[in-house]
Amino acid sequence: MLARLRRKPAGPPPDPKSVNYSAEHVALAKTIARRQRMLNSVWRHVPLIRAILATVGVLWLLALPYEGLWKRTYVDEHALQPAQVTMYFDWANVHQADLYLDELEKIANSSIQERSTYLQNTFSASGLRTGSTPTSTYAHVTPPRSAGTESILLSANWLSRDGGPNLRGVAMLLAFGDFLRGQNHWAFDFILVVGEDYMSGLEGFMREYHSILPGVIWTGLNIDYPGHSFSHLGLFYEGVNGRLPNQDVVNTVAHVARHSGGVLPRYHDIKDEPEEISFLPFTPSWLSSYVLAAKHLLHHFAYTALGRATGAHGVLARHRIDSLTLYCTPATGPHGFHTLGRTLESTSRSFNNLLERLHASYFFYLLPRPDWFIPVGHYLPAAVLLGASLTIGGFDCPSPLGGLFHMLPSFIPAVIAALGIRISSIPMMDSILPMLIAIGLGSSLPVPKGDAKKSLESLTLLLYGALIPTLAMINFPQAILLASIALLYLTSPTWLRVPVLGMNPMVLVAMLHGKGVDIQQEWIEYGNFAWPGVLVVWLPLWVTAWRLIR
Amino acid sequence: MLLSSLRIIILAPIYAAAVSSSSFHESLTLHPLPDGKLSVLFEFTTYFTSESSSSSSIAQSHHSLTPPSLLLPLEQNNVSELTVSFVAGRWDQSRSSESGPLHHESGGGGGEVRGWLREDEEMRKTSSERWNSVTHALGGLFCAGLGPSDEGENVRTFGEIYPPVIGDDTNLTHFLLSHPHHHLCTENLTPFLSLLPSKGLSGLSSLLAQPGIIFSWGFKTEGIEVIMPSSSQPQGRWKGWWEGVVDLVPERGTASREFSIETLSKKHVPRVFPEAESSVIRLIKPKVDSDRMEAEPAGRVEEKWVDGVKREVVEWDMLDETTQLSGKDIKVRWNDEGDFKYPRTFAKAPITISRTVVDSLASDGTFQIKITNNGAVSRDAVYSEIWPWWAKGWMSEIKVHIEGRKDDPTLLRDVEYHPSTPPKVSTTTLHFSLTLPQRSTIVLTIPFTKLTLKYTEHRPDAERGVELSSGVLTLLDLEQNQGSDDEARRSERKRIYTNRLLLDVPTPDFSMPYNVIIMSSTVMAVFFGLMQGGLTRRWGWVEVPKEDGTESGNGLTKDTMPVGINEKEALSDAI
Repeated sequence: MLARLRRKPAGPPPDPKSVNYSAEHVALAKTIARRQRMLNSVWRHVPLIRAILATVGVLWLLALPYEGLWKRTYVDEHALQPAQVTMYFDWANVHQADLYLDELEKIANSSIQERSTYLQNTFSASGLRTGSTPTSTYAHVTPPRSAGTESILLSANWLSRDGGPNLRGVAMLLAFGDFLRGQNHWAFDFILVVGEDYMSGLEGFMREYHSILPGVIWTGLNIDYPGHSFSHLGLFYEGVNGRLPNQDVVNTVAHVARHSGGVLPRYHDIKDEPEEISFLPFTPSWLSSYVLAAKHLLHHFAYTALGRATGAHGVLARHRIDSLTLYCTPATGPHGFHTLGRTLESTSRSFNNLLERLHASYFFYLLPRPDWFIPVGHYLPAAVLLGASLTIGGFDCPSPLGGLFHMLPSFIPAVIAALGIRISSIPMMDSILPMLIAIGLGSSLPVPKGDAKKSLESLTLLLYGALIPTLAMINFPQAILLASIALLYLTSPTWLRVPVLGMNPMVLVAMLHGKGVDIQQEWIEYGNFAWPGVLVVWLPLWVTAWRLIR
Repeated sequence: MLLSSLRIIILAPIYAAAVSSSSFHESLTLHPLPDGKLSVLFEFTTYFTSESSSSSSIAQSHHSLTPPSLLLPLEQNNVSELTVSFVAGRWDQSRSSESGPLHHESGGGGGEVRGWLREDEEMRKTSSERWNSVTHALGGLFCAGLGPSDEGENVRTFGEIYPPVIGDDTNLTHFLLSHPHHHLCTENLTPFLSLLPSKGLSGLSSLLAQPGIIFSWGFKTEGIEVIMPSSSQPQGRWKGWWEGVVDLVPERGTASREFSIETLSKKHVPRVFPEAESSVIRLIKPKVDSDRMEAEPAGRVEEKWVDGVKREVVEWDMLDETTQLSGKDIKVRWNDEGDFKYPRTFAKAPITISRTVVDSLASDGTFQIKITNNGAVSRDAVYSEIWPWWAKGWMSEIKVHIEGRKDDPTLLRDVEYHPSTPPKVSTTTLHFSLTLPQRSTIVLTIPFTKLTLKYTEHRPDAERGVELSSGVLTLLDLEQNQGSDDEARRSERKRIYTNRLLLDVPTPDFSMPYNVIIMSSTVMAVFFGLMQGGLTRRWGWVEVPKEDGTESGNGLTKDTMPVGINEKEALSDAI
């Protein structure tokens, strides 16, 4: 019947002498013609479609802080049962922590050996097996009924993210070790680690861990307690390369902090209170919430777009440990060791319930505010749309081989960097050399003409169009960063493109370095892929874009 | 009076039979460890003889000392010797100053059955069939699932590691089945107690029959060892053991570590089991602080060699009429100690061994086995491993070196390698003959790859990983001879076990098959639709006007192209 309906506006009557001798022929001819017209119209309007896709993608991004795209958080793994246990951490343990703190304050400025000796003696006096690596001191809690096959890692490093000493964090860890000994309701071992510095000590420990102890670590918590007391518990959850812990970990800690510890959780140290927006004559009710969520997301993007971890827990992500940093937001009160200890205990009890690793598909999310999350299906389309807007532009590729021939030389700086040609005697040479080569190549390589130029552009669009949605799956903010760069370099109007290309990526990296963000060092120390990403993805794009515009 | 004499008359023949053929011995050994813990070992030994008069050599009645439910399956299947061992928790070699628990026959982590089967031509069944039926029978007895889930799980290359206790291995086949994931729990204790003649009701076993107490202890091991009577050796023996490690320091705060039978078990010394031929409580004095240690009431003290060290052992005989221990308490304390303080360092165990996985990736890893000989003499030993079929070792990459030095191939004298036969369920077994130089640590590294498991081969808790059996270090140079001057070798500890190991296995996304089903069904449907359309249509030519929107007519260019025309519709149109 559908077929009949479609055929209703019959064309000219069939001419028995022509090719279209029946009514059906005529109708089919019409259908085919219509299909061709549609396709041609699409081909004619590719730039418009690309612009629409990019616009929708950007709008989608802008819509992310809007509540309509969020969901309420929940704990997916039933075994966790957060905040459902009787806690035993009490004032006696708090007193113990205060005693440790007094002693730590005396040795805060002594050498690593002296501090490590103190820590080992203290752990040992609590009946724990203890030892040290060159950059860390650790203790191994072996509850009587634990088989020693699975472990929970708790750490507190000497330096806080504020830059000051993390003495209260270390005192907390010592008191918690003392508290754990002998308790027989644990099924997991505990590894307590005090690392040197802010992150590097813990990273050093993790590199040696597997030859020290056999247990597999599933979950971890890192304690950062710089102040005297704290008002909120800030959860820093982003790991190296944008790797996030299973969201159950974040939700469990947040739930436990609120209901067992009695302290309000925050993400990072952003106030979870929408501010009154008064400068507009008419403010919609959702606007203040929107601004607050945007602030949360921007903080998240600032770290993960460059693959940076927000705390020492970040180095654990690479070892498949779901972990986060508990940051005790400094304040005059009301919380202290008691709240933190109970939060640690109750969270560990939840982790202790696990029979398997956390494995629900709960690793991809954005957190706009406490108690809310944006599921992957609600944010990923933004990156896919931006990627698609590039990809569609690359379909018209008259001479793929010719394009490839012109494209490959753009990757020479990446190849040189990958071969490990380093001139370490000259500072910053690792950045300057690829930059010089890139500038040299960008200005000296012949500019292709005609079909070859079109093909070079198409292939570049196809490559980066495919890369962006793929990257979005593992590191969404980084994919958005790459999408913005690619859109600016390849599709923006010339008046904008020239000044943008004037900034060589390496110059931007050097500016970051000036701000205290050394992504090359982070690559060497923690395996942050941002540095090789700049060399292998961004720099070739810059060279190609430079050649295309010359 | 009348009743009791009647009982004697009725039971007299059974008493007589029991006394003549069987005897029961029980002991409780206490061994304080340096880190404020106490190792507690119960041992129950029954000697029995075969009786040629009856058709079966094993008593089938339930009022003898021997448990028919245990011995009949062994006799039926012509088992010569058999050991079942369960271990929960871990033995801490670094803080206990001992290489392993007091009881030497307890195996590595998890559950383990091993034994020797007699070859018998009269038997219809093959030895592995008989082994399967005996392990399944014992699994039922112990509520533990001890049998193999597949024939290939049986290990047959450990005969030299666990040689027969009686005689040699002619006409005997050795089997070993390891269940590293098994956990010792209350369900395994109840059947154990019911095998004992005292049933956990009297004698030392009544101290054991308190699961609420003993299962809160640390390292725990339970097991039985049965030696069946044979034509050459008419006396058989079965022995059950239970060992646990108690933390003497309370959970909160500090306190003295003094203890007594009552603080340990919340009971006084029980009354003696009337059928016991011997019933002994022993206290092995610790290596350090032993002079400050005092026990009340005082027992008989003698010196014994325990694991390479001469130790003072205090013994209380429960059958001794003069002391009358039952209903009283035995107290042990350290004079002038006050609150117990943990020592900073511990005396080293004679030999320690650890196994970890380094360079761990989803698909590969390297076993790193560190064996430390703290003794003053070099030792000869065999280190053995059992792997599931999907762990594939890179045999050519195996390396041995002394920690801090270069590779030393002379340390590895021989390797016996029995590869698995994938994809059949099977095991890889390895025996490394090693020399352990004095006061040094040797490091054995074995790189391995995890082969891909099929969807159905994953365990239900696949994301947890798979536990591997403990590695076994067998010492070849032990000397029972008391006259030997080498102290380290004067030990009965033949085997030292490594810790258990949990190995992450690469897991698929288990919901993925449904996505694959949906995807492939869609592809099939689209393909079938296209094919069906293509095959059932009539093909013809259609003239399509060029794209300028005008109607077709004379003088305009036209494309002709082949298209499928629905046969049926064409027909209906024609009609």
